[in-house]
Amino acid sequence: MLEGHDLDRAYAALADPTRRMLLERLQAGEARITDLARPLPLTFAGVSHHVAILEAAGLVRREIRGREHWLSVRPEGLQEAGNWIAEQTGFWSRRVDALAARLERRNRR
Amino acid sequence: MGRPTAIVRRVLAATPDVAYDQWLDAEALADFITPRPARSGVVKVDPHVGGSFRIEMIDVDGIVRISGRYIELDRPHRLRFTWQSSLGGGFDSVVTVTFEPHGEMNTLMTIEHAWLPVAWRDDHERGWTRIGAQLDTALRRLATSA
Repeated sequence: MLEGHDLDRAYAALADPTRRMLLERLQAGEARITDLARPLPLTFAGVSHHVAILEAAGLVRREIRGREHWLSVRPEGLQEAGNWIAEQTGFWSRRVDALAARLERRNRR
Repeated sequence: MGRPTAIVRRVLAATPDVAYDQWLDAEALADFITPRPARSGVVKVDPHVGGSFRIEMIDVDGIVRISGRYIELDRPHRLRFTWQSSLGGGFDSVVTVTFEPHGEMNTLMTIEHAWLPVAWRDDHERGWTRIGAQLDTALRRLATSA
């Protein structure tokens, strides 16, 4: 069953352009926070803050290898939102079929 | 990136006022809103801004209860209501239905079902008049940022 709060967190996390940029970078492959910070006008702490929000939202995962923290995209994070959209689209498109059929019947009377 | 939104568009063989009225008439709504083989149980509508509706969808597994409140009623152009399902994991969403003339006799109807963020849900208790305006602003902003 869909959990609304998970979706809340995912979309709140994605509402920020810097976090979207970080996610886009991670789509290209795993990276450390220093790798992410390098091309951006952000401090290590700033990137770390955004990464924590992405992690809490279930969009990014962290793997600790030795002394290094490696980050990667968690693709299933947005799956629920996709499922919700697909379910609602299916529901409403069948409801519209039923309404269209009702109006056709009305026109024939 | 906007909120998750399901969008469905369809041309209907009716004028916008006729199509619009189907949504606010309990008998008409009962006829089209429940997916078969489930059937509609009690369907009640109180069609004024701030008024509520509820729909029971009955099938062999039991009853799914849908409820919501009308945020905007602008006949025959647009109606907007919140939508909550007893199956839905406890979060609200907002449905916006718009009706545009399509030729002389038909209507292009668009349904947009947008999931509603927690920040707006928490505000509900403060009154629906304000919420209506807030939602409108929020949804417009989301639409432009989508």
